[in-house]
Amino acid sequence: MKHLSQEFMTDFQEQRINLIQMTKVRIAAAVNHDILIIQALNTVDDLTTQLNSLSKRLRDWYSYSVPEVDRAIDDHEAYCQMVAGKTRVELVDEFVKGQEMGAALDEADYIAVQSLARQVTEIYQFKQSLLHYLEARLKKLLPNMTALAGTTIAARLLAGAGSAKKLALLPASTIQLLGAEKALFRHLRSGAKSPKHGHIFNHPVVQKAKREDKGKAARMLADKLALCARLDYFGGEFKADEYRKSLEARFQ
Amino acid sequence: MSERTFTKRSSDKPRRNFSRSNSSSRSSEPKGDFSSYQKEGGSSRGKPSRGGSSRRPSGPRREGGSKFSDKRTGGFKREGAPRREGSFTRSGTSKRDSSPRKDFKRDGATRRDRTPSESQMPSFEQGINQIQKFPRVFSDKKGKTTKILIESADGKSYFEELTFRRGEKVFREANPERSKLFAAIILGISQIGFKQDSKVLYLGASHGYTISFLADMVCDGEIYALDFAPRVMRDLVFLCEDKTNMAPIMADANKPQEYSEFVPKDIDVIFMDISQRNQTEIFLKNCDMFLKKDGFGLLALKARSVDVTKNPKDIFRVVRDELENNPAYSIVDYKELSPLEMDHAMFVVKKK
Repeated sequence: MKHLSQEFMTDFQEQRINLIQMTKVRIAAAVNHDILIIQALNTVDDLTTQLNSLSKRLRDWYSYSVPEVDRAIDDHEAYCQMVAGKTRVELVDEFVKGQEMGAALDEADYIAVQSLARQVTEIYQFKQSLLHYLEARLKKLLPNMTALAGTTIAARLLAGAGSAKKLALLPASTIQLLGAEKALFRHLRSGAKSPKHGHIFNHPVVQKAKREDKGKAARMLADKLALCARLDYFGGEFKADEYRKSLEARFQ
Repeated sequence: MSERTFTKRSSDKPRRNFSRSNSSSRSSEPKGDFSSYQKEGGSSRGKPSRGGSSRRPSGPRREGGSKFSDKRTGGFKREGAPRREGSFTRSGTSKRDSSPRKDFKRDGATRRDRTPSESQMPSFEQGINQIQKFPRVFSDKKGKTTKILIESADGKSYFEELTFRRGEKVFREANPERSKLFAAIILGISQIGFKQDSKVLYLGASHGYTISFLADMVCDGEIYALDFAPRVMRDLVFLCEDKTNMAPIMADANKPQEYSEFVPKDIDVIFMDISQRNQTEIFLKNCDMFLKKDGFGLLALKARSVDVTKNPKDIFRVVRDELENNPAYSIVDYKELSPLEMDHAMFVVKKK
């Protein structure tokens, strides 16, 4: 009895090792451009939030030294570059009129703040390069979609659908509402108003449309985007410009 | 992580012990059992008691260290000292104590009702006990909280859960809010069909939280862990390399013919935890194909993925009817997992 079960277990062990091998091969085969693009997009989103909080921290910190710069420059990236690139004396010369409000920091304190500024500037550059990568990849994978929707929206739609194939098989009404899942399910569950647009809300066509036309614009844009997704996936010609012109003519 | 459980426990403690008047009865409770557990790798906190005797006199139990034990032994020494007691109830917390319970009765939406109420719980005894129906599953009841402990086969902790050592045995603590199987056990399901040498097909293994415990329970059996998503499969493969009674399969549970060559046709238990619209259909398809006669099928049904717009109770009723009307199966047990897993139910069926 014991012998039998022992034998059986070895059978199972063989099977198990084969299955582990097979699964590993399948996992490796499942890697494709789509998920890499989605990862890059998520990284850009993460970087954006991190950069905002780091920039705010830097402003707060550096303002003990020269608070006038914080007031003068609104853009986070420009602020970081300014603080990272110039010494305190230069900044005081440039921005301060009359009496100084900031204190002169010790050498060690100053180095700490400035190295943060340098790091944040570098992250801004990294984010920019990542966006270029994303755009290049998307143009290759989804040429029509990217031309009509723009890089960010195309990437978000791709992430929402999961893959280029799934995106191509989605109906236009689903593309219209990708990114509005919360509102959609609230509508389905409790009968609240249905959402008109998801990620495509940020598209210039929808943005420029009049208030009462927003739903129509979103619907027509989603139609064209669904066509684009199918053209891209099944290898059709480039028609995005034509679609864009027709949409822009319709919604001035 | 040890921090978390200890603070949780210490916050439970005054509630139970100090809100009642017979604080002297504490010493007779056998909860000293717990102090005989040594936490794996625990340093200053929770030192092991000497000898491992289950009951100990009511003196100071641990030689210093944790905040928790300090408080408790302090309580013992100065029993009845009003200042001390006041410091625990924080003078006027009696009001604060009672208010959440009122909320609980009114709308049931407070944090406290995440743990099931006394009436729902099966009658676990105080201290560590094996739950006889289930292999290598133990309960640890301390006051109102009951933990599910699984005797580990290899003594490792896979998901940063706490482990306890008693003699030779190592126990892993399962979180019923992360696992529908243990939610069902803690809510008192009558039968789950697993034995130590069962053959199990697990559909929807995901990262492998439940299945890592299952591999400990079914330590002499074999488990086929199936999932569809590459991302979670990555974690699962690592787990399968550690646990020698688990084999991963990356396939779609909706198409059993695609993996039928890898799974034997005499499976003892099929556990299904996938959130799909046609979950019951997939479940029956797999049971038809792989389950042996008198084998058990466990279906953890998520009502919200069947239909978000419908009332979960209605969905459970429909599924129940569907399973009952199927001549090949009979329903053994049915449990709604509502406080631990919202809008979920566990069905246990047996193949005729």
